[in-house]
Amino acid sequence: MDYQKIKKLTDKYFEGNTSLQEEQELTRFFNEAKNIPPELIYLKSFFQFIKTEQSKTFNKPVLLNQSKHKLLYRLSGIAAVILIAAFIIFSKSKSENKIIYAYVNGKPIYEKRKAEKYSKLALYRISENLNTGTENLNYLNKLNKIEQLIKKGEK
Amino acid sequence: MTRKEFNTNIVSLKNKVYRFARMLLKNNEDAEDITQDIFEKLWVNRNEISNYKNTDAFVMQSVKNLCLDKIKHNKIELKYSTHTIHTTSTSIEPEDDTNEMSILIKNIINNLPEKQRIIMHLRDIEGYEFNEISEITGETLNNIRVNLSRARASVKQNLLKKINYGLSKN
Repeated sequence: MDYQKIKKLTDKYFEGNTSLQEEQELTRFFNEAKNIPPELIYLKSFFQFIKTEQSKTFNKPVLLNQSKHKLLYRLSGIAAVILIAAFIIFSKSKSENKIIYAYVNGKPIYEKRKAEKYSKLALYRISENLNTGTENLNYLNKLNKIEQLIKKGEK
Repeated sequence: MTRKEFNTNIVSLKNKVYRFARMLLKNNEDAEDITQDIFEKLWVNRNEISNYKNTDAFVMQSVKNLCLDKIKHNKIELKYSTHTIHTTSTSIEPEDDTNEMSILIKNIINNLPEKQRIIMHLRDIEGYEFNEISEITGETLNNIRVNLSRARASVKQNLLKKINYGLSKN
């Protein structure tokens, strides 16, 4: 390719007006020509760069079923979460299924003996209060006696 | 679409996909991941591919969208992290860019505005026609021409500047 032609083509290229074929010509010229005009020598590296970039390849195998593995991975994660949740719910419900024998100050008592002890204590307190309560009723007996004496006097 | 058809029509674009992702993300590893991801996604939605006239342009458009999403995501991540400052910076790959000039050219191209970089890559590296570039980027033909000439002119100008600076320095 003569100087005039290549100069014209490079100018056209930098204006963005070259066709794909002309661009291929330029790439070929700057990669293969031995006598590049000194004025255009700086473009040699540029078109070499273009050619190198065009030859870059993806060398790893394309795996199409990887998403299945990803899905499996996600599913196993979900399964683990479900298992943990189920365990928590199960252990909680198990504790809820225990027999509550009594409530002391709002707290449930699950042990029978403890409940019996608290119950006895509570009953003892009730009977104690009941006794002190009946003691006060003794005044009524005095009233009864007075009433009987009055009745006798009337007779 | 059968696996054989998918391999022939879609997976055969893997080099183009990889190069495009590599240019957009400026990182080999991320580009490999995106290449793998894009084919997995396309395989899952393989029945939709036949709805597109130009599957090649559709695949490249998907690459562009996925990469730009990743860049956006990286930027957000970077905003909230002080440890990953280097992730979006230009990476120099020693295995193939041993040539000082190619590193220089790569840096010039990497510093172009994103739109110009995309259009220049699709035209100069992949050899797409303007109407195909329009389909991939969504830009008008006129915009494509303007951005392409600006990108090329900018590369030329920067290249000359660097070379002249190098010569005057010596």
